[in-house]
Amino acid sequence: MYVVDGIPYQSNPNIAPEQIESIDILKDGAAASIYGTRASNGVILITTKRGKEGRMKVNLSAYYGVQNITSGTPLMDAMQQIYFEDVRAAALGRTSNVFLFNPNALDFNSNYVRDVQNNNAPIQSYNLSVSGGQNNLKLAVNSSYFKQDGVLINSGFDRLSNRINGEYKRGKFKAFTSIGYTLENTNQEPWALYEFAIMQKPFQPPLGDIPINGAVVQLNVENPVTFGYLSRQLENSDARKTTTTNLALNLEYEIINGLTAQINLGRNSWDYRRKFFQPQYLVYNPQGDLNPVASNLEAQLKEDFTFTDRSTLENMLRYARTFGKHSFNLLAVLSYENFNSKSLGIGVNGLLSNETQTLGAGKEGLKPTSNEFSNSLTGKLFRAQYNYADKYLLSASIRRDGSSNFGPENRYGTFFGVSGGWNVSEEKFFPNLNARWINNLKIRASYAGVGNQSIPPYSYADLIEAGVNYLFGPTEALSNGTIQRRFGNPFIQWETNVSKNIGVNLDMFGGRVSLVADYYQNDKSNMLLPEKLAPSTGTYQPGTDLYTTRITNAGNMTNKGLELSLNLRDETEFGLKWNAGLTFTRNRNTVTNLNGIQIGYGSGRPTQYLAERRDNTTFLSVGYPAGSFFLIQSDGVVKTSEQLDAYKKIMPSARLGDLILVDQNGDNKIDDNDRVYSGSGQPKFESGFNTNLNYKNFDLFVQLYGTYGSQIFNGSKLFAYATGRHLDNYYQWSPANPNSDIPTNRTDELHNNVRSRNDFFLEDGSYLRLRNISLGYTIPSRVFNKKVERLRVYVSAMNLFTWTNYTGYDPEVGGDGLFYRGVDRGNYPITRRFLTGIQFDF
Amino acid sequence: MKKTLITLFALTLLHTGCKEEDFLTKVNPNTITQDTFWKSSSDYQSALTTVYGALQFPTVSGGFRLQCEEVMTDLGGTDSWYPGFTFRILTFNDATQYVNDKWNQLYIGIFRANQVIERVQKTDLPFAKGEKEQIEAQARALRAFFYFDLVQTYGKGVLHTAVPKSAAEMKKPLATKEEITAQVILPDLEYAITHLPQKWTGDDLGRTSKGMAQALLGKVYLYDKQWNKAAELFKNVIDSKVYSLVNDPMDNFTDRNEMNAESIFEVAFNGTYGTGANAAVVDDTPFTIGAESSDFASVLAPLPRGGFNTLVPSYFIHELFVADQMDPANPVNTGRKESLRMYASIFPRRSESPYYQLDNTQTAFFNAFISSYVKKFTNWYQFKNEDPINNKTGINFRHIRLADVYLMYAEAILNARGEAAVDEAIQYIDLVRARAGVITLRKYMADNGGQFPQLHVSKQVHGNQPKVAANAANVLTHIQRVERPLELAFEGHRWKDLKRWGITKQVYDQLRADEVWRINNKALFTANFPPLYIPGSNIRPDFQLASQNYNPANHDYFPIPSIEVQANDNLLGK
Repeated sequence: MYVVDGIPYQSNPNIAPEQIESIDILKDGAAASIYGTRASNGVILITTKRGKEGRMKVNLSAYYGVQNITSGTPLMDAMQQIYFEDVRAAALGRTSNVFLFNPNALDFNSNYVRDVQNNNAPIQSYNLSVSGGQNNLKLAVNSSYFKQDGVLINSGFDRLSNRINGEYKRGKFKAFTSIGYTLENTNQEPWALYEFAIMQKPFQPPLGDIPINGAVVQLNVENPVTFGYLSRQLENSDARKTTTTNLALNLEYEIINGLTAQINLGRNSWDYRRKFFQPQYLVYNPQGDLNPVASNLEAQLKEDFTFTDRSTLENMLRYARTFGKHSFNLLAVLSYENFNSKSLGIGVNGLLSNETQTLGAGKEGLKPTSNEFSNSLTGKLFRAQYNYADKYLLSASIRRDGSSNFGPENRYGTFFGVSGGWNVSEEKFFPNLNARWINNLKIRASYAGVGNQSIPPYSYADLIEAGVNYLFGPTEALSNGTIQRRFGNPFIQWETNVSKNIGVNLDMFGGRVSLVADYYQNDKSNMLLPEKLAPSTGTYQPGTDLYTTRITNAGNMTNKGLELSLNLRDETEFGLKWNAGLTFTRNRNTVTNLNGIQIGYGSGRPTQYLAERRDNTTFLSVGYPAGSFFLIQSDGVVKTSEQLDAYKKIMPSARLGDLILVDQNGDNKIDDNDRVYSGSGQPKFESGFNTNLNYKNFDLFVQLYGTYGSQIFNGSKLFAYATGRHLDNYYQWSPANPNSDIPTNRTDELHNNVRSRNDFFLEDGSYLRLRNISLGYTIPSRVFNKKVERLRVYVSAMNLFTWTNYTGYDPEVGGDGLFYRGVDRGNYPITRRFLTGIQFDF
Repeated sequence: MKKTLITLFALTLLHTGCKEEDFLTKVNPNTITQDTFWKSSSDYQSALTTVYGALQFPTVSGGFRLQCEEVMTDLGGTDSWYPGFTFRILTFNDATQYVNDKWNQLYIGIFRANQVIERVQKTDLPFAKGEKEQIEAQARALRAFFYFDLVQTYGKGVLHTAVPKSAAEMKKPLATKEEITAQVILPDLEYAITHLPQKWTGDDLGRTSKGMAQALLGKVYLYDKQWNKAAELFKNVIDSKVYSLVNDPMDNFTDRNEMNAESIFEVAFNGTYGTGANAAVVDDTPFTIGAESSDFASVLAPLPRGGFNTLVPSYFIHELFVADQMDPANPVNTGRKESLRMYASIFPRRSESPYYQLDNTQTAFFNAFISSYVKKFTNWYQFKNEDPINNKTGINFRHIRLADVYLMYAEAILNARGEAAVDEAIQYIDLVRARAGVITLRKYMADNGGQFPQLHVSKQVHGNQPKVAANAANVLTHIQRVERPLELAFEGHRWKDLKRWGITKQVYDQLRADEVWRINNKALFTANFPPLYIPGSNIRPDFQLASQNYNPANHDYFPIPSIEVQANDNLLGK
């Protein structure tokens, strides 16, 4: 959850970094309880830049950089591929078709991955802010523009954001308002473009050489269908535009001494439109015959729209009183939130020409689709805080949340929180301890419960849905059908997250050394998760997985861990100012209960193309980290006829060159019961180091980050193996290469040798990465006669080096939720960035 | 200012406070709930429509089914880069798409049928006389159909006869084929026979009828080798006089004479509904539009004609059609170069039949390994190419037609009564043969001293076709190896037939031997060498790995899909 200037956002509010004054991450559950249910996944507090009293200030900053592609899957070149095709066909008792379909195969050595990449794509950002204030009124205006060219062709992103903040204060009255307006344009590359590029065989002509004349294309390739699909996708345009507006108004009034009333009002809207155009694309072979399957015979235009708005209202009453050393702070909050979303999609077929990209130019309309939903939240909070002479701090809160996402019986949840702090260094006895090197020592502890309700709306009801039609009678008249197609769950209720935390803050040696240590345990109970239903319930519809799950309170999970951070700062005699920080995090995540299920909730399918047909790799299982890999062990390749005879007992269709899978339970067959725990994407520990050096007008920043002990599923390797494109396939087992440990490709993309349930594709994901290194120089202000406050230029490199044994794209694979952490889907290039920038204040 | 603020504060507090329950109640604007449905007979009819809708899934009545099932048989072949290839070489596993999709899609039909059956049995609503029973009977006939296909494909299944009410009921253990047959298929079909009309008319044409239920029940018994029961049911269908063979066999595979007199159970498709929808998307979802069309024309049509030719005829069935000679005495053959049956079924190299508006000299689009294309279910007779964008075709799919029932009847009586049934069996076989315009068994016997040739033996490989006496065993072999392949090729029966007869291994081995002969004699093969007209460098080894890998225990029934095993903890009684 994000809170921007006091207004909550459920998703990333997309605020330009230049507009942000400060970001705070609330770790203390008790402090977060004020935000209620929305805080269940942590709270990020963002304060936008505000005006300061005094003379007007102008800041200008800009940077420009390039994105350099560092990832790649080793693929066969044309000669290797031709050899491989021969070997593969021979194993099937067939002969290779390479020259039959590609008489000119020897003329080409194409690299389609390179063709669809846009290496060293630029990235740029410009920002201007003006702020100032007088007497009671302060204003800040900011405008920024960011543009990133995609590293895949036909992709890109730009954002223009504007924000005005104003603050007004008079006597007992305070008002703050913020208006943000952001426009974003995204050009999306075609779906699974990268994978389609990997799939193409290199003995075909390169994409750039395709003769195209208007809508007419001539192709002379082995498989015009998949090749034409790729080349045709590149002609599509997929432009997405979003408009975000945020309005926030906070009014505060001190009614009587110590009693303050506050109202926060917020209204955010997010509107999205997408224009997806597929031009007419006619593929002919060299003989002049049209290939209708490879072609797109008629242009198609689709437009999708989503309109959302969120309104929030918070009433707060605060009372603060101090009697001598005792201070009390009482707070009562009533909050309401309402969210509406409406999506619709319309489209037409058969446009007049590839240039008339408007709905009106279409020949026939597609049936429109639409989906609407809304949900609402209420919250009531009471909190009391007590502080004795800044030595002892105590806080207790209770809140009751209501959500429209649950059925009438389960709508409300009640959650408690307490926390306390002890400033040891404030004690009278402390100076006597002879520990003068300690400047500050604080011990704190907290316990807080927060509810979670973020599930799709209406999940509690069994719905009757339309659109399941059939035809009766000689005229085949359409008869409309309506039926229950998915399962609701009337019993779903609030998920609770109880976080317990004990921590120490220690400042030493006059602030030169500081240490923060925290030990925490977070217990999630009644976890809300989509439960994958058994297909025998009749919910697996072709073309969508919308109906295959039902929201359920799945069970419990704990996160236990330790966070340490050590900061040092000092200045040397010759004027070098430096600071260095070291962080260490160890988190242990364990599923503790799944309501009787030992292993379930499979997910983590590692590719984009054909994803729905690949095996799950990650599961929830009691006693293991959530989203752990449960895979079938492999034990080399069948190389001898003795091995083959033995292996055929459990895999009857096995042949020489197949991967040997381990029959874990000894039932003489390989199935899901042979999966074993194979590690998880969760590292054993993570550690970071950063340092800032300032000498005269130079500054240097270096940041290192590393993790140890995670496992990564190498999705791009699996994909290239499955499609028979990986360089390893050149060295695969064959009668001519009988000692190879690379399993033979059997054409079938889902053959046992290349299924994603095999641990063959799992690798150690430990790494150390130089995340950021920047060097800056500030031009002395005397150069400008003090007219300029500050002028700094810098160069910086991000992700410059990574030390790892992982052979896939990126060991830092995004933790896309519990189920995809450690699954490297490898469908987008990874880059390092080189930037150069300027900051200018006057 | 102070006053305004306090008033505002108080107002918002008051206003929102007292309506909190309303504020938290959100009604789904997209659909309705169970509470508002099931309130009238038209609600029940509309729910019943969805059970029929489940017949349109590509693995239930479509090209995907044909592509994968027929390619396993002696009648089909495919190239190594197509997804169906794994069925040709028998390496499919519990993650293979068809293995999963077929299970998934049959259970969608079962889920919908269960809703209708459960609700209609409990309701007190007033219905027109007999309507309630007819709704239940239709849903039960369809449920029996889905379950029969399920147990024939997987050998077992999860038995759901009601909508699951709890998490435990969503994860039921496996039941055997026998349990499912006894507990659902038989009682459902018996109920359907009792309550369904013999024949529907007008706008109700296409619904399940008494004849459909009888024919299906007969098939259930036939597959279970209960010959007498099967024969009796098939005889009832025949004697009902509701059905008759259509004159032109092509009418069973085009959109020109749909729901005709020969059709007993037919699934309706229409390519015009759902503009922009892909044929594989059968029903609407909140984000996509569903089609009412089939995708099988695109599966079968040649690549240059908007299809994918992922299933092509084997050399065996090609040669069999050539060997199945026209009877010059039969008036239907006047002016014909190919039998009506061959003309309706396959397009071989050098055929003089029209084909996607090409003239017959244009054979350039024959991929080197392909000797013929499947014509059944494609639009070769009316379009220049198939719909390449959405793969839509409006040709209905006939699951059961009278010619099939004739042949099943002949098989049942031969098994039940042996030699005593030979005459009657030949009578029904010859009805089918005479309609096709080919030489009847009777005529062969008259010309050959009571014997008829074994047409399934390759003349090319073996030189001649042995002639055999018309005894029960030989007529059965004729049904198995000649008549059913020729009459019912690519209609989704062959794989089930081969395995219930237990002749798969024998057939694979024989055809592999023929294939080896062709490869060893490839010097003979040129583009001018009849009847296949394929060059010797391009002989497709359809049966090499099939005969090597086949093992009834592993291949006759598909494995239970991996996703089911993973999501259903109770499946294996763990």
